[in-house]
Amino acid sequence: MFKDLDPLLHSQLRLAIISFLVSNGKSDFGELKKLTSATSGNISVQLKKLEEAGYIILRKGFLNNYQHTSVEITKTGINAFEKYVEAIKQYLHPGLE
Amino acid sequence: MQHIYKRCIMENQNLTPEKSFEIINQVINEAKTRFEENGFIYAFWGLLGTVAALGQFILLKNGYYNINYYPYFVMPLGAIYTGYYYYKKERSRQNQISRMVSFSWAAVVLNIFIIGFLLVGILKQNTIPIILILVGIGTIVSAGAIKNKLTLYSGVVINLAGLACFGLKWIYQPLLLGIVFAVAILIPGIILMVQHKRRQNV
Repeated sequence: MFKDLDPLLHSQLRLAIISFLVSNGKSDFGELKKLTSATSGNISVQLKKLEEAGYIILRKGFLNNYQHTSVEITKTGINAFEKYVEAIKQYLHPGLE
Repeated sequence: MQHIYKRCIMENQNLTPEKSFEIINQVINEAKTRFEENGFIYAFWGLLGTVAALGQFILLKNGYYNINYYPYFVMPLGAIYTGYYYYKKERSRQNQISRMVSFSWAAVVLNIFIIGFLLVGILKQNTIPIILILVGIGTIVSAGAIKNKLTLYSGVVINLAGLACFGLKWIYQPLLLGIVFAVAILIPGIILMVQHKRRQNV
């Protein structure tokens, strides 16, 4: 039987953000915007959803007198990503399970 | 890679497992090779090099030949500060590209110190041209890593200035070095800093 895909991660933008954070640990709003080419509004909405799920931590502050939002992945986020990858593997190679 | 996101961002409902796998692979590969420079170290070394080289030129022009190299003693202090800066700021965000750039600059700086402080007696008026060529190569390597055309042009200018410097009278070589540091390192460093701050201004 196929595992359910986490609907929170089964979105291109949120999946790209979480994949990048899994590799880097942390990032910031500007870097994620540049990486994904998404609009600021779209990224804000998706980050809020990931934060509400406990997958990431957002920290707003100032850096060199500019407003700065740092983004950090949590243990819950890493676990969710690992489960998602396992589920994806099952879909891609159903015979292996 | 970015065009893939542009195309797909609004089509979340059509995400297939294959597409998910592709996104994960692309993003992880991007993260492995991503290297962003905030410009601070370029501006820092640009200022240090400009001050030291122009300081040497002023000393030479005023006849202080025996102490003309004194301004360069700020360079080892700058190297220690740079090592500390990257240790504190970038340690958690190192990847294969940032390591490659760090090793390249470490080799360039080490060679510059050996040439500038130990081999200057042998190399004489060839010292500054060789240093400029080394700085040019380091800058071109960094330009490739951060994918920045301004840095690439700076590297080429420094490299060409190094070659031209071989034909320059020795007393004017520090003047050229100072001008090159100001124009091709300090100013691009400040521009990189402004661009980096703008990107983070969200």
